Amino acid sequence: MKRDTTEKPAEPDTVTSRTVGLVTEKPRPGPHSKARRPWSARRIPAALTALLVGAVAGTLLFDIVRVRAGQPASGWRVRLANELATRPMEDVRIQIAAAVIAVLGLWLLVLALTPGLRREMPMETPDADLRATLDRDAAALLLRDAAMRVPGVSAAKVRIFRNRIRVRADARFRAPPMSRPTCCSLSRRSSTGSPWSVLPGSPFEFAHAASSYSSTGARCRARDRRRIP
Amino acid sequence: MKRKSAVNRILLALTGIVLLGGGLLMLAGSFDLYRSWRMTPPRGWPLTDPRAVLLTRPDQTRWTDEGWWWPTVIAVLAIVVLLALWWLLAQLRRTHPGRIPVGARRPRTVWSCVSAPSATPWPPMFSICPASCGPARG
Repeated sequence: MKRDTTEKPAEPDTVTSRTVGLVTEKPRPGPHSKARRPWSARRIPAALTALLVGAVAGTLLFDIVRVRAGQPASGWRVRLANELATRPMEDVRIQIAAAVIAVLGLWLLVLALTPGLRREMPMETPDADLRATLDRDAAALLLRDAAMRVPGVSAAKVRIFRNRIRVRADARFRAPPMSRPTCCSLSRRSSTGSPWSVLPGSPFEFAHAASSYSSTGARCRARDRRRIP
Repeated sequence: MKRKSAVNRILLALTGIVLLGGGLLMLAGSFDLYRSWRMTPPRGWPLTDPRAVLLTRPDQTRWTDEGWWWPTVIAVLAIVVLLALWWLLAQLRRTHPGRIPVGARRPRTVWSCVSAPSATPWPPMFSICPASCGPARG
């Protein structure tokens, strides 16, 4: 389809021909381990936490300075001190507050320790300084495209999960056992169990690889919905 | 980007540990888990009695008569506010080029970007764009 025009541009200048030359390369055999998962900078949680901590500390500081300057303490602080001094710990409000605080802390800890960006798949790049990622929707589109190019497949649905890729293809005008191995090879589960290495490098490489993988030993997650016209 | 990510993650982890520890301490005390699980907390362990309050009046005013107390509290709070402000502002700064979406929505811009002669040689990872990228026609 449109990829054909990609591989043969009308007027390639230097950069474009370089690009196209690399695109049409066959994938190297063996696992591609250079592409590592990107780690999120966690800007939004950090900004929210900073805002919250700053607001709480600032409000308290403002009231303390006001009291030091001779003004009476504000109502919320008096009420808070009263509650802290009179409400026993088995009170249900304190239990709820403690649970909320603990869950919030656990959530922040999880955010700090996990990579995030789960929808972004790292791609292998020729240059170590360049990082490229492909998001799940784009990868699904590419895989669907590759599946549609299998002869006999009239419709394909691709879903990408954390650990596997599921391709459902409708096979028409062809005996289903013939089209099954190719679909299976598309949805082949990787040996490391993550979809990152299912996509070895660029999607074009993957498309090449997908059409050349054998289905021996591949775990098939493709499903034929056999429709006979 | 890496440095900022590390700083963010360390600070988030510290905040999370403080909140989680405090919350678990309060939960353990208020549900009286020490007694039901037959554990004896070490001497001086806070918040062990579910009938006690979180902060008694004598605790609230323990150091307020000391001359150093209020200046210390104000200084610590001011430092916390300044650090939080710095942390917040650090999120707004961009220290790296950022993301360049090479998407399917406007494939023409992708190709015009690549074939622009003034641009630095774009590393040939062009295959990012899904399905609908093609040369600019005409």
